[in-house]
Amino acid sequence: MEYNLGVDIGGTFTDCVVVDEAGELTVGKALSTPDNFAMGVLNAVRNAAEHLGMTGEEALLHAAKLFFHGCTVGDNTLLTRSGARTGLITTKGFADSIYMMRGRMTEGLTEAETAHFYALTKPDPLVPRSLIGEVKERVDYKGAVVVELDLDEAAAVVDRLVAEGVTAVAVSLLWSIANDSHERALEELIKSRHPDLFVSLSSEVAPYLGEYERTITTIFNAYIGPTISSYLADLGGSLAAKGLPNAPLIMQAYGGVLDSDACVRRGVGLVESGPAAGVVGGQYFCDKIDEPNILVTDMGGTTFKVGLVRDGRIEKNYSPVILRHAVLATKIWVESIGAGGGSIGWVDEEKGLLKIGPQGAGAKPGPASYGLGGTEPTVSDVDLVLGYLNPDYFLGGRMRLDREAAVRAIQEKVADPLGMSLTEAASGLYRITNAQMADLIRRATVERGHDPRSFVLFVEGGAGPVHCGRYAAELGIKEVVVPMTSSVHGGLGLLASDVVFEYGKAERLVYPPDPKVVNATFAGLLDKARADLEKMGFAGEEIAVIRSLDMRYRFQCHELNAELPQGTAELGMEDFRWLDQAFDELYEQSYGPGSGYREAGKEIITFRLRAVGKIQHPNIKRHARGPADPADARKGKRDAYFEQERDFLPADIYDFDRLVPGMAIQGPCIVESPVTTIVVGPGDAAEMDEYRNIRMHVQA
Amino acid sequence: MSEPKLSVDPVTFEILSHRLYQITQEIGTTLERVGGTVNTTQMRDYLAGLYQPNGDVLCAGDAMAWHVGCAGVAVRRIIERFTDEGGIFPGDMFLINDPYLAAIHQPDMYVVSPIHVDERLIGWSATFVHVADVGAMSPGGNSPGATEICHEGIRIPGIKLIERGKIRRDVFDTITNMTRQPVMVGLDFKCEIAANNVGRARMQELYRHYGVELMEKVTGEMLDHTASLLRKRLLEVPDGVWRAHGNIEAGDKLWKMQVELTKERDLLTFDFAGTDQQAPVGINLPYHATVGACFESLLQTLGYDLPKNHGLFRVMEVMAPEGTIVNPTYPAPVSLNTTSGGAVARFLAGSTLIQMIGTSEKWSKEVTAQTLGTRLARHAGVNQTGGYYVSTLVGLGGIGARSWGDGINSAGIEMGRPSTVHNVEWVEANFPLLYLYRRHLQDGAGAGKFRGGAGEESLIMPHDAPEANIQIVALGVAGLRNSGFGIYGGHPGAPSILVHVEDSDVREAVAAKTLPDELAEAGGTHNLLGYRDLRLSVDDLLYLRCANGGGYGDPLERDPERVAQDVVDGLVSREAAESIYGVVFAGTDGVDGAGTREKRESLKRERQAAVTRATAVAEPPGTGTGAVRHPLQESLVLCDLGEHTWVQCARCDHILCESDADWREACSLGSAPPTEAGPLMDLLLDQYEFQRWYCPGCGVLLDSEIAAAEAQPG
Repeated sequence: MEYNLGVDIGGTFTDCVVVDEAGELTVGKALSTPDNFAMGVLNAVRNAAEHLGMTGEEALLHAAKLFFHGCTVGDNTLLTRSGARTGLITTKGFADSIYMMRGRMTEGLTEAETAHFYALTKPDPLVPRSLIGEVKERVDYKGAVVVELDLDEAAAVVDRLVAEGVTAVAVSLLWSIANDSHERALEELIKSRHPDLFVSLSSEVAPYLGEYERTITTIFNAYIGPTISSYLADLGGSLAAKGLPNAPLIMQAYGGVLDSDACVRRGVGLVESGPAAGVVGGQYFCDKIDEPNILVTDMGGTTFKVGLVRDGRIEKNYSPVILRHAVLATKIWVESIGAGGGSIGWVDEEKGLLKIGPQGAGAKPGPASYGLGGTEPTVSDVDLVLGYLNPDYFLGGRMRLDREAAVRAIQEKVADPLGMSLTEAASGLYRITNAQMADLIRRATVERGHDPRSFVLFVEGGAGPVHCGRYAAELGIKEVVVPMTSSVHGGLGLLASDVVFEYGKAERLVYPPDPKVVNATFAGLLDKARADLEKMGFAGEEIAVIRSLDMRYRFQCHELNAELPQGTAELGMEDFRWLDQAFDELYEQSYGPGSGYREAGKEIITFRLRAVGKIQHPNIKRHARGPADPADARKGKRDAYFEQERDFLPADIYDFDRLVPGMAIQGPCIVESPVTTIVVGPGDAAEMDEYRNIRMHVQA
Repeated sequence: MSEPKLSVDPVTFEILSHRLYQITQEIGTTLERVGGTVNTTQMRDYLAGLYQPNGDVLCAGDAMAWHVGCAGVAVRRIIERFTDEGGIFPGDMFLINDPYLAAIHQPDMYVVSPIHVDERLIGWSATFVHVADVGAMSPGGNSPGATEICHEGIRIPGIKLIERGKIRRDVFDTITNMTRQPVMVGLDFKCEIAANNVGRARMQELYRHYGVELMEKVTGEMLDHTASLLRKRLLEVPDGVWRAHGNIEAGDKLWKMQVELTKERDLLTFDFAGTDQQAPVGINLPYHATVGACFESLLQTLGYDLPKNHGLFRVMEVMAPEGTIVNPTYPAPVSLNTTSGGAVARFLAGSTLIQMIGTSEKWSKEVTAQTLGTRLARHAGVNQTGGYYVSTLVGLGGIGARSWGDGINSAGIEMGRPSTVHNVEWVEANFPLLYLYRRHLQDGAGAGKFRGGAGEESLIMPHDAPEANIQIVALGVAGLRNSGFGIYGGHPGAPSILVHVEDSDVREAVAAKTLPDELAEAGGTHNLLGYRDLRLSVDDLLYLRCANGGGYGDPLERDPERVAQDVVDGLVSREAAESIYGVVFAGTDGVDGAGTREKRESLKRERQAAVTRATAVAEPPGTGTGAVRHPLQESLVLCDLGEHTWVQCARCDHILCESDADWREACSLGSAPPTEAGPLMDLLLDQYEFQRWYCPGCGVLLDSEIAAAEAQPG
């Protein structure tokens, strides 16, 4: 038997999802080991091997065909600021660009932080001013050299940075996207003088218009590159020593995997790859359940995230924000807010208002009901007091919840100060939490021109299924899916990934463009793509190419990415006539009828090419439907609060493990599984489908 | 005063407050995405607001608080004009830009839209953007040469742009036709229409979902709640009267504006009496915009975390005599006002409010050195792809130092709210220009215990300009005291300037494959620009220096290590570190601690020896620490000692004077050339002097000011 493994490192747990040739899934779990992540990885593989009846991780690794890996090393290195001592080489006169940040100092801040202007600060720079070297050179917008690069001066600059102790260097020059010869010359110079330095060129890492964002992206890349390199070398070594035949494939935040070499060169692509894997997992299920439009939500301990799959395609973000800086690196579009099971409810005493988050109780002390010393009321405490969570069956009974502590926290910190009853306070916090999540989903849909009601809601994360029925109703969403892999969805996303390379080139062309120029630019990108994919062993039919253009109406500043028909065929005037119309439609779809201003004309800003090396995706097993009557899965009754009735109602409790496909249940009821709790409100109904997902129908 | 109390349940209140805020965000996002001008997409020079059926502000988004009330006035004007004639119907949208009626100046085109649910008017949405052109004397709508409003372009007292959901092409084309850039202005209207559509649709969904009755109850309560919160905060601040004055420079003339802020219990009165008569140049600020300036300042100091709604207006009154710069009448021109009269009004309102909260133990942490404004330039011509364009060159100014830390470097364009600029590459891709540098200015930020934020300086040349010249309109706040002001002794920031370099050596430099690194190396004739139109020829350069934040407190109290870091970061020169901050360096980098202490002590001794005009202390009150009533500022408190209330130095307990006397009269006063405030104040030499007031007891710097030099006798 051959297996594919997807090992996903999370904040608390490392998950190992294994799929065999028959499509059977097996899950292994172990605690993450931040001091040496490889240990947690091996432990999770061993745990999965044990579930498969093997002894030791070697047996499973030997039998592994593909090993997919999602890691947090990029994020951790940035968050803990433990990356390489990094220098920057840039065009003379522009060293301050990364501090000026175009004035974009509120990116990544909360609404409250943004509003308090006099308290704002800029983020600490990863490269201090003393580690920036300016070199004399200048290229203009056409790529013409205005001032030659002074190599003697540059050599002195590089030597000074090395003397200052830098081990990584970002090179980012003005207009290197139009002419990269100066960056190339600098790379050569650095390599010849200091061959061990880790070098990132902006024209390679982020070949897009805009020196601030391009430079920051290049700095992030250089800063985390060496750490990623040693991490992947260590992990690869450990896995190979235990018998893994093929090198691991590493998940990228744009949704796709790369081998270690490619991954190290483009380390910035690793950052935030965790949430991306979850969205890929959602997309995988799109096909299975035949729903092209899904909203993938993930409510964990501290954050609530949402991603979007539309017409079967994942929405991308071409300029995401990392550590309060806007970067130019494609990522799966994921928005988040600080609302999770651990978010703290509190009273703004001056204003007499009830608030939730963004502060969270974290893993320690955690919610009051965890009994680890927490005294603040959290969302989890609210869920317990309202009767949704079973104090004796949390995490399958591995943890007992202290209801009294939760009651005390809510009573003292919220109910008493506001003169409310315990139930009013708890249900109020529940409503506000759900409203916040609904507001985020609105931002993710209506502000981007989509109607949330045209989506199926996909619910991941342990805390989500307690709340999803309500935030779905608030948005008018009727269909909700709690996937059976809800708690290890990232791992499933890994298994469903292809090898994907992303290429881009900034090139401004007034529309309609000369087809020769367009074809030549795409051909250049395609050559790189073929070379990279062939190096990884892909050929012919296994390669898919998706070309797209970032376009805008002339004089506008906001581009939209318009996808061209699949394939690599030469483009002609016919195609541009088609695209002309398609762009108008895309624009109006995104910004409303009448928003497009065709009279202004259009222009192309950026060429993008996505090259996919197709991998056989798991065909997870479909079970036969059984009887509709769920009586065999019912395990009791308890009172739970339901907002619809503004009261506690007796709710049937079902055991997820005893539900079989086809069983239908009626709200008010609650489904308990070892990893989550699903709340079905009065008037709502649910059933288990052939993949053992719970499909909920919400009365909006 | 009762506690803010809600009758609506706090959960519903919280949820709906956030929904309304989110709708304004979405309106703003739509403006930014669909809009085309730099003002809209980068400067956030726009409004996205929701209004009650009567025009009261219900919820205004994050951007441009100044316009929040003005748009409310616009709604009322439309109600007045159309209720009897023309009618207000579901799906209508109105355009209005008459500055005497509602807007601030003509390029700010307001679009206001009634929102109906089942034929019932439930509110309004309103937006404005600064449109690309209004067919005035100068491109872009700010006309330095205008002497009356008729020179300043289209003036619309209210017209229907969309009638029952259908665009009126006749109106649309008539207006865009009167501009230099019909396509761009059309795009501006499009973005406003799209944004109002979004606002209307979301409001209708919300009111339908919760029911009109409940929404009316909750929204009414929101306004009351905000008003009661602000009143409560005002009661936490001591009563008092604070004054500020400033000048507007245009051409070779100077106009004076002044304000007196009186705080009595929970009411604020801004009185602009004493301000000069309206001017025959576009610096005049319509009354509703003067109110808006005070509103914005109030929001920033005491109300930054409160919902932006009409409740905030209930605690303030603004008095501005008719026929003055702050309440002009026909035919006073107004097109330059946002960066002249308006900037000064905001600065004065902010300065008095900052003085006020500085006396409150609780609120003094919000004290921030105020900035008057910055320079910017319109540029227009034919670009490298052969199209005519009009755009704005802007840079990032630093904001003032705070009571707890340094001001932010290169923080924004408009002081007091987040705003962004384009990348150099974006500008060069679109316009026939090339930047020689864009960087932080050295020694520009005001010194202090906490340093002001450094501003940007940029040197720009024409590049690939098909017509070999570019039309420039020098805008922004003119004059040499237009930048950051210090507070509590902090030094002012270097002036924000525009310099036209004629016949530079830059083409020779380019031919030799090099470029100048400094303005001084560029050759040519350097002209400091006021408000004016000019042409940038192929051999010319434009230098833009943005605002620099003022300092907070005494520079000799600044941590020497922070000064050393500023030197490493290139923000402060070694010379200034030594002369202004009294920091002595040992060898190449480190601070000489002992040397610094000695140097600072000797500087303080010099200060105490400065002229003393101590006349206000009637009888020596003795010494000792009094019972503190409240702070007056960083280094002074008001305290009770014996029978009297005194102004006392918080550093050395020296008693300056009785509470009702002017404590500055009891200080040691030093008068020096402006360059003592910073080397870049050299532009002010001869005309101005730098005055500093020190505590006679310990020499700590208490206040500083750049004042007009007194005429030399004889």
